[in-house]
Amino acid sequence: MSVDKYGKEARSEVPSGRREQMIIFTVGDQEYCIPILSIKEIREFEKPTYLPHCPSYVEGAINIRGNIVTVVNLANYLGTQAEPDNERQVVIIIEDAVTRATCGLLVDSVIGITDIVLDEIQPISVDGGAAELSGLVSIGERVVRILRLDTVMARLLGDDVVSALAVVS
Amino acid sequence: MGDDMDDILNIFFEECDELLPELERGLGELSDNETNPETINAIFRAVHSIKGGAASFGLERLVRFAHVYESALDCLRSGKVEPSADTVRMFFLAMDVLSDLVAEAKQTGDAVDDQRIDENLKNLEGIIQQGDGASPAQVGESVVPEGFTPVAVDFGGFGFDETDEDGTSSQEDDAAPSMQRLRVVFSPHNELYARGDDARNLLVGLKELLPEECAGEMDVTCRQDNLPTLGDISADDAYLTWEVLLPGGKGGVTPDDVNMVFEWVSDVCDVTITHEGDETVDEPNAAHAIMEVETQPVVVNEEEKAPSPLPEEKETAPLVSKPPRKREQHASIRVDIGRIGMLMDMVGEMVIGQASLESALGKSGALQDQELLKRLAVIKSLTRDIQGAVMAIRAQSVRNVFQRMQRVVREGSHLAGKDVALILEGEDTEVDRTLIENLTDPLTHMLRNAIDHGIETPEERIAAGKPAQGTIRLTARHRSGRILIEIRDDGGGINQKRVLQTAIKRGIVPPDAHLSEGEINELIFAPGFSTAEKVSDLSGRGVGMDVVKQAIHNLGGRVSIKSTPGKGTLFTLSLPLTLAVLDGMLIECSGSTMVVPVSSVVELVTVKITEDVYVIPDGSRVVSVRGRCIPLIYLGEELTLPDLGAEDRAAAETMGAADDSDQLIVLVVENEAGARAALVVDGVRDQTQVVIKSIEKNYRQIKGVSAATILGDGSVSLILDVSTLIVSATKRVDTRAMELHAERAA
Repeated sequence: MSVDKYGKEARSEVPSGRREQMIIFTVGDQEYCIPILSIKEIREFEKPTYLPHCPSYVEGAINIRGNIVTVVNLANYLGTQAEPDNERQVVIIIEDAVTRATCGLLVDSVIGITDIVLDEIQPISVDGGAAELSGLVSIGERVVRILRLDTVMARLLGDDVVSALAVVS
Repeated sequence: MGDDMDDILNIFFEECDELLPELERGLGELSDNETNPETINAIFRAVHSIKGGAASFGLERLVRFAHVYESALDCLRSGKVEPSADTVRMFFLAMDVLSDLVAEAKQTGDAVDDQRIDENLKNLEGIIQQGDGASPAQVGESVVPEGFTPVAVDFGGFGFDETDEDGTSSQEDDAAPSMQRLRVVFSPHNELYARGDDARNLLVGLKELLPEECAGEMDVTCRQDNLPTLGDISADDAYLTWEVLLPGGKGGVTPDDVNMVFEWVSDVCDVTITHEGDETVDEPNAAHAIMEVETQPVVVNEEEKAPSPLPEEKETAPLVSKPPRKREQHASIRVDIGRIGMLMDMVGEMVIGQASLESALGKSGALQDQELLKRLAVIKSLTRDIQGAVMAIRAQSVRNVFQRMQRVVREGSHLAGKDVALILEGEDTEVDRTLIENLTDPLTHMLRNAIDHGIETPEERIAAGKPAQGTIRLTARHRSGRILIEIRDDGGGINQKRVLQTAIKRGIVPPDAHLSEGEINELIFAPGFSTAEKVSDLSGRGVGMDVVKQAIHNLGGRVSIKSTPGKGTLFTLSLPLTLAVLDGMLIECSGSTMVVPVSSVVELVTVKITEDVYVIPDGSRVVSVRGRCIPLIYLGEELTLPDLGAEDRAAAETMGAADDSDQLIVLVVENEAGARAALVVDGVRDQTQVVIKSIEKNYRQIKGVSAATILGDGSVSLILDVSTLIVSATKRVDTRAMELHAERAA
């Protein structure tokens, strides 16, 4: 009996109560989800202020009730194509649990909310370094990718913070 | 639980931060010979509160010191010691130790040197002995923890040292027959219980007054004369009067000790203290009279019914009766600064929201309506008032910082062997707290410099016909929306010849430089400059003044010097009232609106591309403004602004050349070291006050940008970091010395 199999069996014994509410959104033709508790608000996309020397996935900065919040263009970040001519893009404002830093995710549309059983998440093997996704989950016929918010935030805050976070974890 | 304790501990430290300045203020008044009982009471209360708080957290070192301090202050309070200059000075020194001990407990400071503590304890002990050896150690409710032993201090009252006791025992004690007992009669008011206190605490406090050999010799009687019948008892009223007999006389308890116990309840409790066996006045009624005034008769708890043998009744004239003392009402509350920040943000949003409402109404044509306009104007002025009020919440007087400087001068003059007095003026001037926090270091540096380099030694001063004591005047006042802080010493002034020699020796200026007086004075701000022949503890590390200038500049301020040889030196700091707001110039560049701090703008000029702009061999460009060549920064390019690539720029340039002949708008900016650069901008829109917002909270640091702000239309705008831009434009990492050099040579 392989360790993997044993691990799986042990996991299946966990009571099925461990679920998490996730919000599902699209970027181009792909679906992603993030925990609903990390979301502070969802707002219309408005043209942000350009930040000098910023990487291509940083769209700019917007004002949210007096705070300067960076908007991440998720299509660029994930290396996919956004829906062309989408007038109804929205920005999901999230807050990182560890750093309390806030950022906005520019997505094409928000589909809805779903309960995901944590045990059903299939992890993605990562070959070192920080990855964009933490796993996949099937909802009906579709496969939804789970976005790692800590990576997003670490990239925004700069490399020093990335390594600091790595040390912590 | 641990967190709860931490919270409470933090509150204690916050209190200390308030109490220590109060102590300093009080001592300051004493040293100005403004001795009034309220002042002495205030400083006593401050030390007492620190001691009490420290005891409950087991901060033993702090408690021990505070205890002796308190005892010494008590001699002052009881008038046994005069607040002479020497005494006050000792109290000042001891206060420094006390605040260092607080810092030590807070773990924000180094551990305090034991020897220093002992020295100060000895000083305080001297004060105590000078006053009265009689049991000063028993000051107050003994909050001293069990393990407390008076370090290096003898308190006569304890009977540790017979001779000492005899030598110093108080006159009162001498006069009284040795076996005479003290009768203490007290009747608590309802308020005492309402405060959560208890008669029991007072009894325990009295019990703790008893010297060891008399332990247990306390008779307590509870007078229930005023107790109504059970049916009439109101559960909330106090009815009981307590009578306590304590051993008095030599080695016993003095009325002063007893007063200490009642110190904190004197306004909610009637107390009479008499010597048993003194002239008899009619008696049981003295206490009763008091009770009758209260009219309310009693409830008895089990606990309150202290069993007690009846003492012999002999009547007595009150020795002491204290008028009820008014409790100081602090009409202030402590608010977390984060909440005020939130309030600020929200008010800012409100201003923006109101502006957008106005513009929306304007677009729809509704603003023609006079009625609507009037209402809008009301809201507008309200908003402005609210904004002002919120800023006022954050404003604090510079008093605390200024008073901290007293200590700097005290220690500094001691180290330098000079006699220097610091005179404060305008301590009530208010500025934003963000600024206050950043003022301490620069001021400390400057004062130390003034003591070390400015003020001469007493001998030199007398020889020069000045008073032996040097004076430094630290003043603050508001002027046209800024705060001016002046540091004026009456020392020897700046020795220009020596400053110039040193600067030449250090290679800061070329040997053949011809500098004006003002320029020579400015040299002391140059990096790596120090004229002190020997490196002293105080200054002379050569970092002082350039760090000061840097710090002031970072605060958006400027420093200027005036010096008269033989008469003294005047430093003037001009600072914005707040760090949360900045005077900014709004510029347009490549479609972006950005903010340049007005403090770094030198001038705005239009230059001709064909005549004034030169390309130097390394490919960068310079512009000649008034015969001076300044590196040119194409802002759009430098910041990689999107709309404007290199070709667009060329296009814009040619377009500009076509439209406005060949003119270029450049903004000449200067960093703190005087290095300049010219920013090419598309236009200048406005000059306005902007609220500074951090970018780094949610994003990394951006080169060339120091922070951001939110404009009236709600959009985000970047505030340029002029120093970084200049440095990167000149492609030299640290050019300040060279720039200075070049400038002087020019």
